[in-house]
Amino acid sequence: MGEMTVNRFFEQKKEKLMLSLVAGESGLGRRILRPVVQRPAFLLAGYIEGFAEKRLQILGKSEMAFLDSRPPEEAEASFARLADFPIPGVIISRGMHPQDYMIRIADDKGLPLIVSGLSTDELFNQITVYLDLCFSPQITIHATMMDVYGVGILYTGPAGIGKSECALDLVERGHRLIADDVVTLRRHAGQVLIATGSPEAGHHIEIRGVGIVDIERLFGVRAIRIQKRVELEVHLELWDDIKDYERLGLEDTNTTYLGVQIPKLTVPISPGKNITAISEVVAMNHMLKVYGHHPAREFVARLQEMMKRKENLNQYLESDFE
Amino acid sequence: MICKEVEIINKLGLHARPATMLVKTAAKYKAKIKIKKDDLTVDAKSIMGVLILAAQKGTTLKIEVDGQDEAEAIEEVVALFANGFGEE
Repeated sequence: MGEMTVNRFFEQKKEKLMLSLVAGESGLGRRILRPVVQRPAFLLAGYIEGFAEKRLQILGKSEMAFLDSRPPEEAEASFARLADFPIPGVIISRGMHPQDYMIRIADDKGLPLIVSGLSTDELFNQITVYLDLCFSPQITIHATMMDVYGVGILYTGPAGIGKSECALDLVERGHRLIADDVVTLRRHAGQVLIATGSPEAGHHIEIRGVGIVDIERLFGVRAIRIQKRVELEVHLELWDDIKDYERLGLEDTNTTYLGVQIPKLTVPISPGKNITAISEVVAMNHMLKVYGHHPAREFVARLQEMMKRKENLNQYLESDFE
Repeated sequence: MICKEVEIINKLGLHARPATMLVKTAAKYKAKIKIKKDDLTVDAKSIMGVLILAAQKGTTLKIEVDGQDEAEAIEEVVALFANGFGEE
C-alpha cells in the first residue's frame, strides 16, 4: 500500500459515499494514519484527554446539534479546537451543511472538510471496511492458489515441482484457479487470509513443455476466481526416503502467514502419484474437520474401542468354566 | 544469503527472451533465487513471475539468493543483467 492520503480516500470513494469537498482543499495531502474513524463529541464538549488525532473525524447529527445549541463564539471555539489537532479531515454526515465558521476555519487551517450524503452509521461502516482493506498487510509469495470444492488451497513448493500442472489438472476436474506462480496474500478483518493474483498475470499459467496458457479462455469463467480465502496450505516436495511423513494425520500441523494460522500438509511427490485426487481428498477432509469430524482421530478411537471390547470378551471366556 | 541490486540496461527491458534466459539460468542452481521490484517479490525460477515484473530499461531490481550454491548463482545472474542479456 502507498501513502493513505485524504485525497486518495476522497477520489476513490466520492461516488459511493456521496462525498463533496466544501473547504480545506489545500489539506488534501494530509495522511490518514489509522484504519478507524471517530466521532469527536467529547472533544467538542471540551474534553481533550486521549483524543485520537490520527483518525478521520465524523460529525453526525448529535455533534452538529450540539454545536448549534451553543452560543456562536463557543461553537466556533469548539470547532477550532478540533481543527487545531493534526487530524486528517472532518466529514459531516447526512448531507448537513456546515456552518460558515466551519468553512472559514477549515480553509484557514487547510483542513479538508467533506460532506457526505450517507447516514452516520452507514458512513462509519463503509469507511471502516474501506480503510481496513487499505491498511491490511500483504505479502507476495511464489505459490499456486486453487478453490477445490470451495476450500481455498495454497500450493507451495520449489519451482518445477508441479504446482502449475496440479492446477491445470484440478481445473480439468471442475475446480477453480485463483492465481498461479505469483500469489498476493492479504490479511483481512484481522484473521482471514485472502489470496489474489496479480492483474498482470491474470489467469495465465505456465506448463512446462507447452508454454503459457490462458485458463479463462480455455475453460471459461467457471474455471477461475478473482479471490479466495486461504484455508490450508499443501506443500509439495520431492519424495525423500529419509524424511518422516505424516502417516496417521492425528496431529494437525500449522503454518502462519501475516499472523494468521492455517493448517499445513506436506505431501511428497513421486512418479505415479495423483496429486489432484489427493487434493480433492484434502479439501473434503478439511471440510469434515470444519464440520466437527476428525477422521484419523475417530478411526483410532474406534480401534481402541474394538480392542477393549475384545479384551472384555476374552476375560469373560477365560473365566467361563462351565 | 546474498543480496545484490542490478539495473536493467538493455533497451527492451526484461521481455520474453531475457526472462527465459534468466529463468533457465536460475533453474540450474539449487539455491532459492528471489527478485524484488518495489513491493513485488517473485521467484526467479518461474517464468510467469519474472514476466509480470514488467521491468523496463532503467529499473533497479533486488536479487536475493539463498542456498548452498548461492555464490555461483548470484555471479551468473548478475552477469546476465550486466551484459544486457546479450542485447543492445
